[in-house]
Amino acid sequence: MSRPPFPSPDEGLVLHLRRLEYAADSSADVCGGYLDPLIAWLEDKHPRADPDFRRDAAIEAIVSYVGNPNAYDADKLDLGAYLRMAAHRDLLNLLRGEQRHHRARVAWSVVENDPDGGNLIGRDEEPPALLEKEEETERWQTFFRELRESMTEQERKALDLMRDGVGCNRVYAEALGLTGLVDEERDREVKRVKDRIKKRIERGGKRHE
Amino acid sequence: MSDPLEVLAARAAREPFFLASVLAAYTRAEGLDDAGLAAALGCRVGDLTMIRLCLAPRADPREFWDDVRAVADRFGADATRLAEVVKHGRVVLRFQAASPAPGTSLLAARDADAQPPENPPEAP
Repeated sequence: MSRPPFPSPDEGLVLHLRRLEYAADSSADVCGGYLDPLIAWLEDKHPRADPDFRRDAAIEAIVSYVGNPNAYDADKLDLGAYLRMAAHRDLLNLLRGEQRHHRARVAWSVVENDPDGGNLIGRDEEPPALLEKEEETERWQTFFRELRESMTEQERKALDLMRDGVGCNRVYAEALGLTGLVDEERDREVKRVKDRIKKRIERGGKRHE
Repeated sequence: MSDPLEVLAARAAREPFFLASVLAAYTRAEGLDDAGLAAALGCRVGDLTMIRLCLAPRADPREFWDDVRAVADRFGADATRLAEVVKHGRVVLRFQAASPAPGTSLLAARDADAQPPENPPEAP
């Protein structure tokens, strides 16, 4: 059975920038784009875990991101990879809580032999998982570096401000050298630059497909 | 509730940054089900989940209307009705925060919100 795909890295970056600039529908797009793929990914990683736990872990990862998008550093990792790490961590916490609850009643041997039991942290550090993470990080950093190199100096400055979650158009105007404009004209110009950056990210992503 | 996205929308009602939180306060105060909320917003019941998962509109009047319009345009709701519901929901939340005693009447909150919402500013 085919798994629902994660949004591509460029789609993730555009979603993240939209969330940072408080596009009101961006959170719905994050939820709609990542929830099912996250649940499916957790199912592959932890096939024996309670499906409700997997779902709740995916939900908590997304809720945490939407509430605090600045916790995600777009320089380092694709948004999908970040959410997978967060959901994985949340699932481990849920399973540990469940384990503690069960240990009061269930024999130690049963808990220790459960594949989703005591060795969860160790499993995360296994060489194939580490290699996968390294490759993912390297792919993302290559994408991000090439994206920045494809931009004008002005666009790079705007991207950095967007990535830092700056919302004030006056700050953008100063960085972009847009002086002597009335507020409405300035806001339109800043929006035009931001939109151009998002388009460029999407085009950059398509080149990597 | 088996659709994970619906479960997420229900979870989002506990977070003030999601629109779900004010919509939940409004529906509780008005005793509405999904059909009633959809009618109040002028949208389809099927679009409620995604509307709930949008960000709660910001407080600044201009940003408030930008946010309300963005949600309404995207998901086919009536912007003016959505704005009224959000304002009403926020008053209910404030009232609940100030008077957490169970069984407290919400009539005072309704009275406090008797004025019509500000008109949306002209689009630039």
